Amino acid sequence: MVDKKAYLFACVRNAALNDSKLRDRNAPLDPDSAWFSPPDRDYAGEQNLRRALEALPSDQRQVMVLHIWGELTFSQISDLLDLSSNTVASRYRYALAKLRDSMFAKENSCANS
Amino acid sequence: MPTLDDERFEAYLKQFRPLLPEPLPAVALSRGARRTFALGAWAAAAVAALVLVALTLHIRTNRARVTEIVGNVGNPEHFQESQPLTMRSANALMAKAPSFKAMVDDMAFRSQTVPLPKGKHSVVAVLGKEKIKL
Repeated sequence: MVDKKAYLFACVRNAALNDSKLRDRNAPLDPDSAWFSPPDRDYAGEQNLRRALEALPSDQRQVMVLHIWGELTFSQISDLLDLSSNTVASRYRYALAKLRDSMFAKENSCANS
Repeated sequence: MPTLDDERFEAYLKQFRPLLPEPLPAVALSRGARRTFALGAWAAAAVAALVLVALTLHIRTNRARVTEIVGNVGNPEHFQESQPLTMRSANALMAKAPSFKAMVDDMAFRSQTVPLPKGKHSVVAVLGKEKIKL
């Protein structure tokens, strides 16, 4: 017979320990540090791209980064992420559209202001 | 199938080359954590030293006891006074005594200082009473 109260305490304790371990493992990135070397010293474009990538859902960002900068095919990405090729292609299409909208919307808003 | 716009956009994105990642920041130990670590290390060292000393003493004591026992194997009085007869001690006694009869006689007629439990008889006493033809 398991003591319910003790069991509950053990659950909460383990969850708190796991959380603290995770926090120690993940160091926050410096928000101002560049991710890319921009063409023609287009630093504003680099910042724009970074912000747009940050705004993407992580599953779409993964596929985008692996395909564009990792130069992996959809088939290779599907093997890597254990997804179907169709899912990978669909995520990529969504990500590309969102990225373009986000970047051009930002550029337009910058131009207007 | 990607449209031309998509291809141009992809080409634009590929112009941005990813930078090499910076090394992960070293997590500096806080003062309290450092003190706790030092205390723990000292405590572990002290415990290890104590265990080592205890082990050394234990081994030395055991060795002295074994030496004493081995030294007393050939001494019949020792067996008579302190412990019951065993095969080993009987062998040792036989090796020293001029004959089997002399050994049994010698042991049987000595007073036994170790009291035997009720209902048990000394082997030496029984052998001493029996008539054994040699």
